[in-house]
Amino acid sequence: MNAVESLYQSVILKHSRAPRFRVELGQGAAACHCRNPLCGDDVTVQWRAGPAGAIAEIGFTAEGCAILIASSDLMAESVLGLDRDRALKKARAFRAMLDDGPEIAEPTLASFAALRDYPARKRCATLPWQALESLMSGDMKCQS
Amino acid sequence: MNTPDLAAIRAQFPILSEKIYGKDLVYLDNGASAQKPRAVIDAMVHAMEHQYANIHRGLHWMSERTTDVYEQTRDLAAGLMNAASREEIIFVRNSTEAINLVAHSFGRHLLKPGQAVLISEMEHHSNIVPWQMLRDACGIELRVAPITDDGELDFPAFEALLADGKVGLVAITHMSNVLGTYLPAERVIQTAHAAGALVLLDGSQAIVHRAVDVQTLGCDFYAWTGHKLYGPTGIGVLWGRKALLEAMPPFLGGGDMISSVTFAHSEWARVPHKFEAGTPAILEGIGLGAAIKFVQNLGYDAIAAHEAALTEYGLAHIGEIPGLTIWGHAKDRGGVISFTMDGAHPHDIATLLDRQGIAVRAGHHCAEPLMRRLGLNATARASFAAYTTYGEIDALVAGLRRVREFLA
Repeated sequence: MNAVESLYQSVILKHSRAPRFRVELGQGAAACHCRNPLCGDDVTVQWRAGPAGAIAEIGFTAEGCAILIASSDLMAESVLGLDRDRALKKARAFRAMLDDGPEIAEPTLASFAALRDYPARKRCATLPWQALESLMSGDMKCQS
Repeated sequence: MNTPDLAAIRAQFPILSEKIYGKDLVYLDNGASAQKPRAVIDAMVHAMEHQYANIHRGLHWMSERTTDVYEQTRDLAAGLMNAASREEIIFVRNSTEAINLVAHSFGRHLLKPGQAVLISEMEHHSNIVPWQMLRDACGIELRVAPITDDGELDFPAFEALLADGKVGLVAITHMSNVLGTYLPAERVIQTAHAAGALVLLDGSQAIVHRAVDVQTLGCDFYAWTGHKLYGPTGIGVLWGRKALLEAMPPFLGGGDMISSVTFAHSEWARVPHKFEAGTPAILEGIGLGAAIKFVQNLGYDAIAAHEAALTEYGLAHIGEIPGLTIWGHAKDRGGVISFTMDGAHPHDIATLLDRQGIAVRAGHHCAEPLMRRLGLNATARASFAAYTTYGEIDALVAGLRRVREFLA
């Protein structure tokens, strides 16, 4: 089994088939929508802050491939409870990792580094993180 | 083509012996671009090494010889399409440029506001966007003929859209790059002409797989591109009836397309040069000549027979995979098979096949309106060429079964 097949088998399938965070948070939640016009991948990330400003609720809706769905789900799982700064740092580290930066510490997220060899697929993994980055930085221009 | 013939054909394509991730390359993305035979590579390298200069205006040996070889391609292209004269062959960069040329020089100048251009639901973006630009700039109406669920032109609807006599041009694909559908071209052309409309055929896919005779077809413009016909990128052909080409103003202005220039006024060169501004794709033109000879040496009868058999085999075996849907069931169809798999996004299919050395296309295939008509965002697509083998289709089927085990 090659690296990409391993990625699919170990991470992507679980999170794309039964994504826990694929939910709409409804009215009042801040949302950012990102689209990749090259392939039609489309994701909206929503969140609500708790009393201390940390991510108390997060969810996404998406149309696209298994990598997009799994990456969105894992992202939500891994940033739930983080404050804005830490979530923003993680988003930047994830995107940097796919641009040949260092692998990040969490093994499930790090496994997405296998997509470095697939320029056309990197965006599938980074699209939800891009939306999160916009939400956390307050810069709502989601470049797609 | 029997097996020894096929082996001999494949031996002419150096790239086909490349390995991808240590596996034999199974190249099934020919609808996007075909690989290049040794003759094309050699013709271009030979020109660069031994016989190259700018063409049409040099008064030296190198320029004259290079002009001769480049212009031979015009004769070869005229022969390939059975054009009435070599002046009807205009070199362009690709089909997109050919269609833009017609939209500009014919559409903006010879169509009148209130007239319409009629396309179909199964067009490539290259045969949609230029007409939208014409519509928005000049008040030309854009009409779209629907297709049936099988992926054929809905002929009664097509006739109805022509009925008011306002359609000045039907611009339509000769073979769909997604569904593989061949247009009943002669019937379409006769019907359009009877309603007073001219016809442009987008032959980007069709001319690769079957002989095209523009005089028998009776069309008015025919566009195609070299890189799908085993030739280089950056060179394509617009064929047009000479009287039409003569009535049309130039597309781009510059060198080579004039007969005289003063600051007050310029006179245009005669066709085809009127439409060929600037230094053309000389090396690519020379390469295209070699590609046309390659196709003629194989013969369209042999190519069409081989690909028809492959397509039948591919449809049967790919169609047997559980959970897999093939899109496009026209009675007359070519070697382009688009499919989706339950529970598997086409991009995931393509990535997992790639790791097995199998190259297919996945996405909207530059035909987003068609995807919407089918209720899809994307499909995966396998497309065949003269060098495609049954073994490659078997590899695809095995690869898809493996993908299904993974994803579905």
